[in-house]
Amino acid sequence: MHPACERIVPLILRAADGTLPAAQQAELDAHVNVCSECRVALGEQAAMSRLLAEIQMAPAPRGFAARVRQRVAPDTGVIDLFNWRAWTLRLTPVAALLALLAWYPPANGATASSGSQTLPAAVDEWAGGRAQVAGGVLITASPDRDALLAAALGETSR
Amino acid sequence: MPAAAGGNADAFEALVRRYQTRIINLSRAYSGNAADAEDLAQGVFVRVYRSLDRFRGESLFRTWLYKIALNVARSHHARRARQQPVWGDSGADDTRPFDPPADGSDVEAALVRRDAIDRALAELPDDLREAVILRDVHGLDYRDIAEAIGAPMGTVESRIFRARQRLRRALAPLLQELG
Repeated sequence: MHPACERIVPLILRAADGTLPAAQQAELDAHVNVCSECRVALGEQAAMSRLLAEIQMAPAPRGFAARVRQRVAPDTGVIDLFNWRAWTLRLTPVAALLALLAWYPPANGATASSGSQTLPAAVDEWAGGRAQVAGGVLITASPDRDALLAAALGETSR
Repeated sequence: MPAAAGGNADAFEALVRRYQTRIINLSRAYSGNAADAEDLAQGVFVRVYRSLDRFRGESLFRTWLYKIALNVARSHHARRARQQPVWGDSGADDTRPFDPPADGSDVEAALVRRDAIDRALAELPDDLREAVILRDVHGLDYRDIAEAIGAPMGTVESRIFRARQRLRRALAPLLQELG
């Protein structure tokens, strides 16, 4: 392709797959009327685009989504409530947090304001500014995964 | 399981159902066989679930999902290339997806055509194949492709253009048959 035709490539691509805005169609038409190489390229690009668009994707295997779900959020049975190892692991961050609170009392001066009471700066940073103390209990707000998922589901898929 | 987490899992499963076909087929283009493709695709969705908090909404969710899928697939592809014996089985199976013609025309001809297209795609360099598949098979627009593969728009356009040129040469006999 002639170097001067390089700027036409984006137009040829989009015309070939039917996404070229009408405003640019005239520019492309004017060029391909005088450039046989680009005229041929346009035809080839369109033929390939049509051929590949015919490819149909294979359907997902049955039960795929359920298997993914099982991996990310396995169901916990009643028996899990009596699994002291699981409880110990889950409570580790809580224990670490309590230890932090005990070791960095607000009176030390290294504090950050969050909510109605002050929090140690380290705790506030850890919680990404979403923590506050209410009634002597530390409350942290997790990122709103439900909102993220709802927004993703709201997108059109194509 | 806490109610909120349960709600998340329901919404996430709906999201998986929406995109599972695309991600499995994309994975298939890299892995070459159905079993690996499912494993890869599962890995993609697990990574998405665990990274949801890092999705800032600066791009479409779909673009972000493709970006993760491409990273997972490329890593797998590179790993497999390192493990590949010089001679021997490539690990690819012969059960490529096939779409029989809806109009009842010659099934054998359609099978031959699909096989020729698959082989021509397989002969392309990875970067060209990736770009043209995302555009012409998956229907992503040029900007989304650029973001998903992490390349400038001009590079993406050039790759798609060159990929279609190479495919045109490889499939010339087939196109002549089709008229």
